[in-house]
Amino acid sequence: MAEVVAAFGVPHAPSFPALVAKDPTCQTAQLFAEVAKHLDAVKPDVIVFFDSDHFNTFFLDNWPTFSIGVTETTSGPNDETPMMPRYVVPISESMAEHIRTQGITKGFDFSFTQEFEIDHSILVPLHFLTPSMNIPIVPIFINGLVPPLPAARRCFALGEMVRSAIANWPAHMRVAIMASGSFSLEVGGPRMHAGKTFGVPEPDWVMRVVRHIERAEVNQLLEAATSDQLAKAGNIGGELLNWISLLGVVESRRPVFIEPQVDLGNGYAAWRWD
Amino acid sequence: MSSYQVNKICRLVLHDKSFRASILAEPEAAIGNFELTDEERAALLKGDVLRLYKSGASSFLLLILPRYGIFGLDFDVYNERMLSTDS
Repeated sequence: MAEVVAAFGVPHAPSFPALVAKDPTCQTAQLFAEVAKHLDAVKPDVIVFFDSDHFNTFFLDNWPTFSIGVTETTSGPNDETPMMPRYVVPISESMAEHIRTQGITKGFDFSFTQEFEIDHSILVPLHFLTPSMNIPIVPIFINGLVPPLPAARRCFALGEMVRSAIANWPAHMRVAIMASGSFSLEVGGPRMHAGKTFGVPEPDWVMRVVRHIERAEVNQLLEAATSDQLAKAGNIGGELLNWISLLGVVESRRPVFIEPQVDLGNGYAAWRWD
Repeated sequence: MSSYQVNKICRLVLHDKSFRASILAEPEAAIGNFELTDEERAALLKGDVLRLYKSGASSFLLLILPRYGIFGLDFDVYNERMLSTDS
């Protein structure tokens, strides 16, 4: 059977690659390096990736609440992320199909896609963490941007289902989980900071989320992460749902590392099973 | 509700380079075939992003417009208009 060996939560701002290219010792570079150290140490065979598309893989003509990419490769970024090369990323098609089937059997009615590109929200993390793109991913897309969003408890249950699907996989495989997203962020909307393209409407919420994750207070986080709260946290505050799905896999484990970037509305974390 | 069409125009600017070139060269003609209300059409051509946002367009998608200088917008003008309270 396959086993989960680690989990990682990271942000994905499209400005990060240019920022780190300009200043390789900046805080963002150091935090990704810290996460990469844990990822390199556990040597996963596959990464199950919880992500929210930013209208680039999908659009409002056909917008999924939960979707999964089931094919051999994907590529991107398809949203002109500055200072990013074009990447081709392998997908574990068999594991993706297994999770899709297990999910639908258990009441998670995934849509799926067999031909798609991905945007900065997956590729900024991979650009820093697995730049050789040698580890296949299973992309699971959760609607974190277009209200109404799926409920936090539903996303947590999705993570629990993924954990059980991994445990049911017949072959030996080391699996890492990754969640991509911020906790409080407004991009392009009226809660931007003056003179910027983004704002952090609720820095206190960022600290509260980090505290709950650090102490493995899952129930408190699920109680607090109402749709109203996620909306108050900014127009992409719903990206927290990716982390909440990750917590459904992590259960009551505490992270070995967690660090917020409050002024950017986000955080970085790693969990190890060893 | 046709905010969908406004959102679609923003997304096309990012994903379709030939549309991006035409909307930069001839904005009015480029949006001529989209099913917009008169108010939406006027707000787009004026770069009135706050009005478009208030009528339901996605702020995340609207931010694509200043990125490529569409409708005379740049990031400073966009920021100022979106944060303005008198619209």
